[in-house]
Amino acid sequence: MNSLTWQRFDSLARQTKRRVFAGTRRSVKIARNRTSDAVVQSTGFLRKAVRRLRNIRKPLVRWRYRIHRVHEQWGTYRDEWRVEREIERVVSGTAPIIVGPWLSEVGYEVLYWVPFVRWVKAAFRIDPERLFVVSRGGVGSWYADITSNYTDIFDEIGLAEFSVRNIERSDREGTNKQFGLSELDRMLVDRIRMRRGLDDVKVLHPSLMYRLFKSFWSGHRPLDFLDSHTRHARLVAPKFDLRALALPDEYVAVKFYVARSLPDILANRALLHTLVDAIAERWPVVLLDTGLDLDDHADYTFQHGGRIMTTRAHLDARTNLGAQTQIIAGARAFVGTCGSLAWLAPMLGVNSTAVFTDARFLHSHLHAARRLFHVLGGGRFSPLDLSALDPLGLTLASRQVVLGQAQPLP
Amino acid sequence: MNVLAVTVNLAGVAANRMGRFSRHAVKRVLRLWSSGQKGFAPAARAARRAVTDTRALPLRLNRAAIRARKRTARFREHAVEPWLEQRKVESQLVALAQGHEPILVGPWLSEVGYEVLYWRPFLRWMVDRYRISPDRLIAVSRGGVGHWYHGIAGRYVELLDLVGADEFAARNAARHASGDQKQFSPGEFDADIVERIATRFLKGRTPHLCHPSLMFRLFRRFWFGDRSLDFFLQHMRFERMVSTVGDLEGLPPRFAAVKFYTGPAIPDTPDRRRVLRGLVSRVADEMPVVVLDTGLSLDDHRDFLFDGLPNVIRLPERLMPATNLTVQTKVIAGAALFLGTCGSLAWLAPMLGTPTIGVYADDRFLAPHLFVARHAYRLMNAALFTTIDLAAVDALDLVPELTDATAYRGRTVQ
Repeated sequence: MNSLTWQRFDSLARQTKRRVFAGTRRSVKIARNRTSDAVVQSTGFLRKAVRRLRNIRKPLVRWRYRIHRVHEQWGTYRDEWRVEREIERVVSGTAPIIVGPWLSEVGYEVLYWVPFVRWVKAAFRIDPERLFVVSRGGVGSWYADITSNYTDIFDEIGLAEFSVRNIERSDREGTNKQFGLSELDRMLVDRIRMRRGLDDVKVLHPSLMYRLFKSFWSGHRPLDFLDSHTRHARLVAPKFDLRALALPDEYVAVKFYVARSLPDILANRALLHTLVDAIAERWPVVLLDTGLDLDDHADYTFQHGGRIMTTRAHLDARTNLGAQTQIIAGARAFVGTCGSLAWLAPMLGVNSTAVFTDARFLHSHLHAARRLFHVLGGGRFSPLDLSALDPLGLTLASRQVVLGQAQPLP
Repeated sequence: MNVLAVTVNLAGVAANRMGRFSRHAVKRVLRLWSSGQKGFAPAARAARRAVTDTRALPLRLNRAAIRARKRTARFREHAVEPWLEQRKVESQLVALAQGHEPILVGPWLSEVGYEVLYWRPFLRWMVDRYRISPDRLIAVSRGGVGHWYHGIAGRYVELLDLVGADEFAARNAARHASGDQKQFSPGEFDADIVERIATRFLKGRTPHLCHPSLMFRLFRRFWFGDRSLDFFLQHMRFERMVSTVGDLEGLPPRFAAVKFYTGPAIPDTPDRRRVLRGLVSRVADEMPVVVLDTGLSLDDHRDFLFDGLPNVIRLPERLMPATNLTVQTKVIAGAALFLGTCGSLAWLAPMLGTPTIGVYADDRFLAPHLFVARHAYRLMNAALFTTIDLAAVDALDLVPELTDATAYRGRTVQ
């Protein structure tokens, strides 16, 4: 073949190739471009999807949270309505009502239970003769404006039995609070029913109060809710024969016991000893330590003698709280652990200094107490955080004895 | 036959029969009467009761109506109205969040305490909840507190750059006199400030306004005790403040910052002065004390000063109105302890990581704030915050006797 023929053949072959493959190449090119676009697009789409998914998490979480909150609030309201219906069932009719038996802390009794019972009586217009209060330690005077029918638990069972069975109850229920009707409650109700000759009785049990106010303590219900379910009033001191105590004319009543707000650690003991000594330099001190093993709040003990006297030898289980109430009512001031009798003193018209080092479990009670005592107009209620005094070295302002040292700040 | 005798006998028989019959009849009637009485007694009693009840019905209905009216009013006041207010505020916030217009946050004219404890966490919540870009927010406050709004507002406008200190004090005092210290509604002064900002910084564009009244309206019911802590915490984001410890020239390396001012928490009485002086003296025994005396007249609080006490010094430089809170914040952030009236800067100090002791003599108006503060500090992991009630200190004679308790100067400060 000469070169011309070859050129023609070559040209023809190229043309044929172009014709054959042109479409294919274009298709390949388009396909490649499309693939590339598809990758870009799918990447973009995936990115967008991931972004959307990420963003959708927030509204979902928010909605889940809202639903959870609504569910929680609904649960709170439902529980409250249930309790209110139960109260209505208890107070309806003319049958006698056993109020109690109160087995748990003094603080809750004074700050919540007694005002709650007062509210129930007023709101449902219950005849006082229908009410039979059951508590312990001779606290009939706390309920004096509610009813005169008071029965002391220690008239029914002995101190040792009460102590053992109450601790068993607390252990079984996992809390000292009376959230349900226990065996001990049933036994006491039966005995009191028989003693009083009551046939058909209803029980206004402390669990109703605990269940109702639980939502306030946990912050789900406002202070107004507590206000609308309680009636606070000044209390009158009982009249026990306390001549054996030979109380001074003017004295400061002191009661320090171990609590979560004032744990039994060396530093606290030292601070409290110094505090009591400092008070004793100004006024005689009457220590309200009972020596009774009634619950898990053991009393702090202090050296007595001189200007510090103790009531330990003179108090018996049956009247110990009543007698302490009377002693506080006659005192110049009350100083003690924040809780229990520290809430009682202002209701008796006595200034109360409530001492603590850890306020974590006190927030809602302090909040309620601050408002209540201003409204009630009794004695002044002054919380004292010892941990605040420490950096200032103030607890140790005793004129003669300086036991502790101001701690350097971290 | 004796007719007469027969007649008499028959008459006797008849009389006997009649007597017996009448006795029986009487007995029957009496029996019937007594049994009827027994049978009808409950019905009679019920009838009598019905009559009594019917007579007493209007009274009972009236009592029930009064009770129902009271309950309804109470429900409306304590539940419906707070809820409606909440809805109103939240819908206003939703409207604010829409669009891209700048949002003017403020102007803050009331107390420092409310600003740090409520306003700042509220804004933080608002920005987060409604996904508002901080770039849109312009915080307006006074005293150079721009860093308090760090992460919330992209821009800060100093009020005292717009309004002179004297004019600010006078117009703010006029605002107090005409209403409340709290900004429950935007007033004339607020409008004037907004207008000045629009003219100077926004080329005349009117910005959206997130006024402090929104926060005050939302939480007013909480302070009164009508709303729960749960509700409050749902509308707040508590975060610690970025510490702004700068160069503290002229101050000792370790010191306590002290700021006591008069107010409802510590009324000014000679006894209070004595106890406060004793407290400061106690602290001064441990470390140098720097008294945060601004010497400015911006509100109605007056400082307690502690001249003459050893180891107690004042701020080395005179503070300018437009930066006084910045300087005080820096000093507090650098202090080992803050001791002061429970309120204002005492709420700020734990957020800056400084252990704080808030002192008060009357907690009547403090109760909800103390409740909030304790929860807030726990949530933001702030420094120790404790309080001292001067009544307890006084009652227990915890402060030793001090002479010369008169070092007090009446002065209006912020």
